[in-house]
Amino acid sequence: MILSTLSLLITGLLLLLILGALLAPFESLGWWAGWFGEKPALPTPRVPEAGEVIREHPTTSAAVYLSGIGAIDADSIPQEEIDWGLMAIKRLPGVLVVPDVYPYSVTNAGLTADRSFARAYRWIEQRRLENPYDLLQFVVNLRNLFQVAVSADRRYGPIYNLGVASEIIRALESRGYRVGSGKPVTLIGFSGGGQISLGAATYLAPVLKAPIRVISIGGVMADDPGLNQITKLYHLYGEADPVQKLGHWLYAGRWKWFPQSDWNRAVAAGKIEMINMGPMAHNGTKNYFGWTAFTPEGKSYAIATIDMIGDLLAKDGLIDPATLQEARAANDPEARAYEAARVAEAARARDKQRQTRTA
Amino acid sequence: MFEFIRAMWVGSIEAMRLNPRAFEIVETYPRTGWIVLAVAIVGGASLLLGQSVILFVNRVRPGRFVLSLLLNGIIFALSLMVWGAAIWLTSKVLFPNEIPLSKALRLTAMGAAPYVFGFLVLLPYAGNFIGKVLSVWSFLVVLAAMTSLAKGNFGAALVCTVIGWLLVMVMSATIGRPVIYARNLLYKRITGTDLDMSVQDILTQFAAPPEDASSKSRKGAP
Repeated sequence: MILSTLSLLITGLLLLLILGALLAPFESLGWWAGWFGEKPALPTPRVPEAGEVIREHPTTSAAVYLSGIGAIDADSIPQEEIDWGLMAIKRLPGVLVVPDVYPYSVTNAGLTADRSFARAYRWIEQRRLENPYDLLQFVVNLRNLFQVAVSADRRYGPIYNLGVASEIIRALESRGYRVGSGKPVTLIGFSGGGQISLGAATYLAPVLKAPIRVISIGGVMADDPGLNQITKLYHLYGEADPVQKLGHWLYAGRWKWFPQSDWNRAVAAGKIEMINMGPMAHNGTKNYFGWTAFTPEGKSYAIATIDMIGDLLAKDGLIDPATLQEARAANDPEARAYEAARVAEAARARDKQRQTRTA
Repeated sequence: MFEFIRAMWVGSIEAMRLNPRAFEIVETYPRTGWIVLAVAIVGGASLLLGQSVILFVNRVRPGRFVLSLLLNGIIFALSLMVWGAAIWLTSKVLFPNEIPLSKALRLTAMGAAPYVFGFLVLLPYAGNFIGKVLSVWSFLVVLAAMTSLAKGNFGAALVCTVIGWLLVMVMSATIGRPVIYARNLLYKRITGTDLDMSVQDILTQFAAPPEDASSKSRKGAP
């Protein structure tokens, strides 16, 4: 009886999984076909009216952050990514940071926006606020994972990535980036955001007429045509992160047996740089955004990841090294205090857990 | 109605399992022709649903989308019958026999059974691979059905199936061209578009440098 119920449950879950995957491409395909009322097109540079001056942000480059598959909308991302992003803004001087893109929708519409299952996602969001490790978060991860697969699929990717690229351009403009200014843009993508960064880069380079870099943080990336449009791809990976290896295993274009693939040609051209981040993991307290795990130099993993990005941007001439050092020195006390607070918080949580177990 | 659908389902599954009993039943009972025809239509519609990216790319409206699936089902069933006729003709020439054409048609149409799952081609990442598996599977079903028709003579079945397929290919490129033209015209009428835009065109249109893009055709531009 228990066995048959269990097998029924597993079959049901499997069918739901297949159904979810089958429906995944429809959002972007329907968007392109105009089934939902939109008219897809890349935004064109805004032409100032007579006497009008378009306000432009004074920074010399921009960085767009594309979150991992845990994101519910552009604002509702896992807390660790929010904290990390706020600290990154302070430690990356002279860079216009744009966090307003929800990369798992072609229209930038979060899961709690006007959608069929918005109420269910709001409920999951509420649960996640109460418990960041709530199991139902898995539903969001799965839904977004399918969108990453859509982005990486050569049949759907060109449509999906066009939608995300449009949203990135809009977000950049809304933050004061002038399209056509030629200021370099860096896409920083975590996990699935890495693949979507590559996909969107296909369209960003020609429209922005600017060098596009991608920094993948444990990104799961395919052999994407976007590689032909970027200046550089830095892939930050942790030795304890098996998830980022999925891209290598799952996408044949990344296998060494296909030297003419977009990926392998980019490798041969020296466009792709793999950066070992030490024993970092994809999830949990020891991930790239961890505040309670530390490098041998005493930096939390979160700060180490931010600083690596800063070093790379400085190496490429996008941040002045002296200014970078100043910003870090100025931010260090705050970063240390934040780390200490998180460590204390984790210790309290452990104590509470121990007491509960003892009781 | 329920019995009919059940027969379609069981028939498809047994054909996919290459069960000789399923082929014997279809061979013996002419009334199974309707069931096999329905499976072929569903298979064709399901396959186009799996490959529907082409309809979306060409911005086919929802109503026309559904009609296109139905049309593809009918055309797919017809194309299987043409293949069946070619196999039957080949067998008449190479291995003289008294097998009626209707039996060959019914059994060839069973090759549509795997395509009932053609909608799975939609799946991101795995879809293309599934599509290839279904093609091979469909060929194996037809081969097994012809082997059953040839009373177990696998060699003769293989020769007739392959030559029959080649015959269809040659006909499509020669005397069958007006038919292909008419079919394409019908597709255009039903979908309401020229169906000439591909995903690659989207890349070319939007990912090319602006000066290049402006000189390119603006067909299908939003």
